[in-house]
Amino acid sequence: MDTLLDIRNLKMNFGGLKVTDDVSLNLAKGSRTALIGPNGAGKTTLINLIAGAYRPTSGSISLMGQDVTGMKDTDRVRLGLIRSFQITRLFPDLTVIDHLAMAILQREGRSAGMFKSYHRMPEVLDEAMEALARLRLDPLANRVVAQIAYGQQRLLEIAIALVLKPKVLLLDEPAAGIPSSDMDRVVAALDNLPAELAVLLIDHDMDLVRRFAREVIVLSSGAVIFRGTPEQLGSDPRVRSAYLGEDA
Amino acid sequence: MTALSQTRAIPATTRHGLRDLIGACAILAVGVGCFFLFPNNLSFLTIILSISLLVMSLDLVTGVSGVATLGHAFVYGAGAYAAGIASVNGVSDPLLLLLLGSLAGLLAGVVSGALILKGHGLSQLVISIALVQLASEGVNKASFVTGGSDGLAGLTIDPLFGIFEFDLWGRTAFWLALAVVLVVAVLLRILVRSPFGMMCRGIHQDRVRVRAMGASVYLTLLKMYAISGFVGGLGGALQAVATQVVGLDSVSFTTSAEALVMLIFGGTGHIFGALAGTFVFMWFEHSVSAASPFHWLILVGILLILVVLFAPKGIYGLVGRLFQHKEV
Repeated sequence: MDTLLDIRNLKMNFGGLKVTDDVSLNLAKGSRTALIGPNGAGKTTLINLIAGAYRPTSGSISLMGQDVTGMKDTDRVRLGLIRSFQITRLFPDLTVIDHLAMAILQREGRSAGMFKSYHRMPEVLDEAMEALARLRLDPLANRVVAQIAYGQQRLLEIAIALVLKPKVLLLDEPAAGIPSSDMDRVVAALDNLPAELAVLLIDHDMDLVRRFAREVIVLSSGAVIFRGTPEQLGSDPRVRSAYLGEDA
Repeated sequence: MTALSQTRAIPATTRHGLRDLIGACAILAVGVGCFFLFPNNLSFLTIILSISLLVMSLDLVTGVSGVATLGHAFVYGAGAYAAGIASVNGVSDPLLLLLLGSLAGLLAGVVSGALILKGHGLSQLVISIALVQLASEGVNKASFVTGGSDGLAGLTIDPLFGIFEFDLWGRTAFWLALAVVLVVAVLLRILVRSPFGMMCRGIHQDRVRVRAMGASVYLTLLKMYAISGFVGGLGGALQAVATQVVGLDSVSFTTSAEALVMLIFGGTGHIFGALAGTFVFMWFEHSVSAASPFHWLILVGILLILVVLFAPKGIYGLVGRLFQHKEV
């Protein structure tokens, strides 16, 4: 079975407002899917629903054949459903390598260790440094996160997600805030993601979306209005209408 | 890649180890110095050391893990009363009493943590205050066991290791307290740097990120609360053993609030800061209350305002800044 993530008829209401309206989608092993839509379309809400931060009003989410609709977010992470955040969420007072070490130790179930610092665990250090080197963040390893640039923090978020060894990766605007001079690092990181990994990417950068995605899903007012290849996207009247208004 | 790990990581461990060594030597030096310089104040110094365990225990949950509490004397009082009640019921070995007090503190830590961690921010504070007030009132009402408002007095404590009597001058109690504080401070420094401690620091800074790594915030903090309770309970038991008296003040809101003030005074999240804050604050309070019995609270208030304004990271932060300037 190649389907890793299967979402069926997902609905979410905030009071009377439908923020996710009967969304169904699935991600197979190795899929590269982009989720786009105008501001307020419900993209991040959908990521939050999939990741388990919100409970859906109705519908179901299955991860590798297992129904995870009512499962806690932390348990979904352990199954391999990893996300990054639209707005960077890091520990400002910890160093760059601290973040990677924490993620590695948590992945391996060793984060409850109370005596030995990870500085004395060469295998953890090596893996963390390798992950940083892949994104050219290794020179910053011992810098406190509050002292590094925002673009570098965005890259660190990607590095953390990758060391958690995801099976399904949800990337919420990974390129947001990254200066154009550093964009090649994000592109390279996305190009080098493991082939078997299923990725759902949210981004507003259409160049990045076209380059990365084999399938594009467009959300508008919480509902899927388009599903197809990046090439079909520009000619679809519903997409043009959603982005440019009814008269477009 | 081993070379990478060696070149980057070993300096960090060396730096941490060096800081711990300097910290341990400083505790020992101050302790030994105080023993010879203030031989008539050993009982007071022992109380400072026992309170410092409460403040270090508070540092674990507040400074390291970011849990707001004004009721941490709950664990301290649990340790003090457990040791006191055991002592009046025939247990007289000081180390066994310390162990019983620590275990009672651990239990109190789990109970209070389980409740306090259900709240966030202000609600945590309210729950913690309610808990310590309930505990204080409960201890007061259960006078048949606790001695009520009179407290427990006349505890009988055997010589330490069967050799060292708990004398009137408080020498044995002082050395015992110094040894306990030294060991606990170093162990807690190691704990704070461990993967578990790092996770707690992460929770303090961004619990959503911790959850996104797959870690349970509640269970991690509850474990930290249990450890904190163990340390706080040890402090309470140490005071019971050293003074051979247990009073209601050991489980009061006032003690909890003072512990928080001492922690802020010393600097949060570093363990050694808690120790320094307790020592300097209690010594200052003791000195100015003797020098000016009617106005000492004003002086304490002014000192606190000065610290908050000019050294917001406390004594530990101030010393760290001075060293940084020196290095530059």
